[in-house]
Amino acid sequence: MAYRALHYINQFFAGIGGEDAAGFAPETRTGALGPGVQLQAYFGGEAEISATFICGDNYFATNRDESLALLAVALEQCKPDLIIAGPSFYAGRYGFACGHAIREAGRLLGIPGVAGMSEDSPAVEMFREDGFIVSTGASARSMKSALERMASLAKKLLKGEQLGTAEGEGYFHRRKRANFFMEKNGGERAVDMLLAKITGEAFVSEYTQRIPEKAAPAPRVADLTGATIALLNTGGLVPAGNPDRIEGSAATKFGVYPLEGLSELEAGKVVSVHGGYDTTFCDENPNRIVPLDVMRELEREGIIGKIHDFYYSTVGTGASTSNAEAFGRDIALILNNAHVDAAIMVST
Amino acid sequence: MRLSLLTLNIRGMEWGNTTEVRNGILRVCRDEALAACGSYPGVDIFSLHIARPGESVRILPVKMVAEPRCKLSREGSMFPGIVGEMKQAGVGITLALKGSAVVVTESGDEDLICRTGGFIDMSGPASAYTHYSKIFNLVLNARVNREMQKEETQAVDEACRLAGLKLAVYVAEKCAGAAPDSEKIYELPDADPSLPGVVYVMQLLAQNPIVEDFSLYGQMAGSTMIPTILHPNELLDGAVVNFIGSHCAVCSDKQYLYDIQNSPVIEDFFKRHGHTLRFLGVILHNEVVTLQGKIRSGVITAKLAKMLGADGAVLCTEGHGNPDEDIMLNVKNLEADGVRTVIISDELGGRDGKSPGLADWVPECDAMVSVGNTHELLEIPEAMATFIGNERSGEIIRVTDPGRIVMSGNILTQLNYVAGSCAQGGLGHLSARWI
Repeated sequence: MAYRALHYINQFFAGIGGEDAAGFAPETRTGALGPGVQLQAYFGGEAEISATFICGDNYFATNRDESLALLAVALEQCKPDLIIAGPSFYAGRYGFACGHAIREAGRLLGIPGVAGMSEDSPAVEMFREDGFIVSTGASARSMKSALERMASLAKKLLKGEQLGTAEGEGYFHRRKRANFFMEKNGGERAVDMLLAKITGEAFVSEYTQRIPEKAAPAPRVADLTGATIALLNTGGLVPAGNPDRIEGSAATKFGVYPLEGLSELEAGKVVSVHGGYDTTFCDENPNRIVPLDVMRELEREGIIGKIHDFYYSTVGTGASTSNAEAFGRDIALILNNAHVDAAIMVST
Repeated sequence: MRLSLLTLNIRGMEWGNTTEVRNGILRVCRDEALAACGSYPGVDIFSLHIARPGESVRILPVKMVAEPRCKLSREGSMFPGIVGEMKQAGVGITLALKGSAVVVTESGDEDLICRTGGFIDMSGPASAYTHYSKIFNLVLNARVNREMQKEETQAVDEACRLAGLKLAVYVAEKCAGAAPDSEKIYELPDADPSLPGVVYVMQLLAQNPIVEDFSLYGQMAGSTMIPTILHPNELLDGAVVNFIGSHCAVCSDKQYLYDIQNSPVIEDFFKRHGHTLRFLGVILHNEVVTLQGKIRSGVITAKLAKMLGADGAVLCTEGHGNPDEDIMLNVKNLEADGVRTVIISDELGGRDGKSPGLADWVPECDAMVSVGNTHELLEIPEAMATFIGNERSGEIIRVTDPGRIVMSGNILTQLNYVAGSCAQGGLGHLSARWI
């Protein structure tokens, strides 16, 4: 049985009209239409366009929610395995509509989406993570090759074939990295790249990333005697048995553990699961990482107001910065809600 | 400095009554080889195993991988200052047993104190990711003394390190009489001064002032070292010894000794020396943990590169996280001095590949060779027919992911536990790309 696809196009490519018909309200038609006819031919019988959803560019821009609600009905009726949109080339409104269509279909049905846009189309940056946006020329003059490549990628997605790199498959990457084996080893590639760089030849770095944002330190706490202080650590301190199964490296979570009523952390009851340092000293005396003992003294002496009732732990080694950032934001939010004034962050 | 490297290509490994190589088959006399390892209070007993490519064998943890080598000349010594006499490395004649390695693992660590996570599968999905699965491995299993492991982790590590090095030398020495398969000369004759001068900046982890992260001529280098210049022959010939000790859960991006002995950057620089570049030397750089220390090492490395007259540098790193700061500092300083840079690094891109791969980045860094996203998930058989090492370490390499359905009989692991899979010396073929 052939796979089913739903095709999103605008009023112009549906043959309804140009700018004068841009207010055209959404309509779903059975089968392929306009560029979809050629698309279907490229599918070669392995997939069919079951329905075409037509929407005027202005209509979509001014009635986005209604348009997407109608698209949802079409998706429900058609039950496609994939959504294909455009190609919209450089077009602004049409590009955004295509982007929204593949995003919505992915959200509702979890199906892959294929669109076609030119490199400088503003919708590329906005929707590249939502599906596979095939790189096209700027105008409909490149229609044939755009459809051919969109169809070829769509077929691979439908059949669940292993995809190559974004560059190799001809789509704008989805800001994701995946591993591939190369012909030359890393050392040889580095020497090639260095010689190209020194001699001024073109070279392509295998990776670049944005410069990380620097966080400004919070202002100092004016009066510690009334302050609630929290204890945090990346040293992997957890109750014995590691109830949350926090990983010894490349952690995917953090844990929250009680301090209420404790005057110090007891050896044996609290241990470190960190996989990157010698934890002997910490296991002998866990207060070396979460300094509850001395903090309680300061609390008793009235130097600080109060110790927050929980400590927060994760393992720092091998963590992705995305996870680390997410943990930080989540913990900060909890602390803010609990009216914590300051925190001691013990890293290892 | 001139080094003649003779090689024997090892195409098989068997037990034998004497240790020797014949027709490419390395035979190992088990008792004699074990005796060569020595004895140490930290290790109750050593045992030896053979792990061949394609076999259903898992080795865990992997503390050391070294290519068997010895000297055939009066000049020089192998692993000088550690198991060899204190002599100049990188001169004379060296014999290397290509296609084989000594792998050191341990067992008996029931309390899971070592917590080192690297494994090698000799077949199956993980074997595609590391060169150690494709060579004949003589595996030394150190049954550690449980009490010593608790109190003297470093003494146990030291025993494993010494035994591994001794075994690597012993095996090669026993093959000294065989006719070599090839000979290669490593030297750097004067080259056309108009060719660009290049250096290799090799960064190694130095994370604890009392832990022997790596040593130079037997001196604990690690955090006490000031970056220094080496002739590449010294690096190839055992002057620098690196050991993956305890508390090293992530073993994919560490510099195992095998990778230093077989550095592909050095190999390629030699090949092109006098043709398209002038290879000026190696700068050994330590990745320390203090900010002052990082700045100090950075300043000195850039100065050395400049004094050598470098136009370009390939930099490699060990580990991730704080070492990313070292490589970015080096790039910044070197580029400011007019030395063009290319870095070799892995990425810690998260299981979904969406996280920034390095902990830091500078605008000057515009050329990187990626040796892969070390967070990528990998489904492997729960067990192999033969397991060598510490069964308890199995829990380190096992991960769970709510988004993944795993076939029965399999477990999920992460590439960061596959020893050498994202080795930043650049010996592997893995890379990450945008999808």
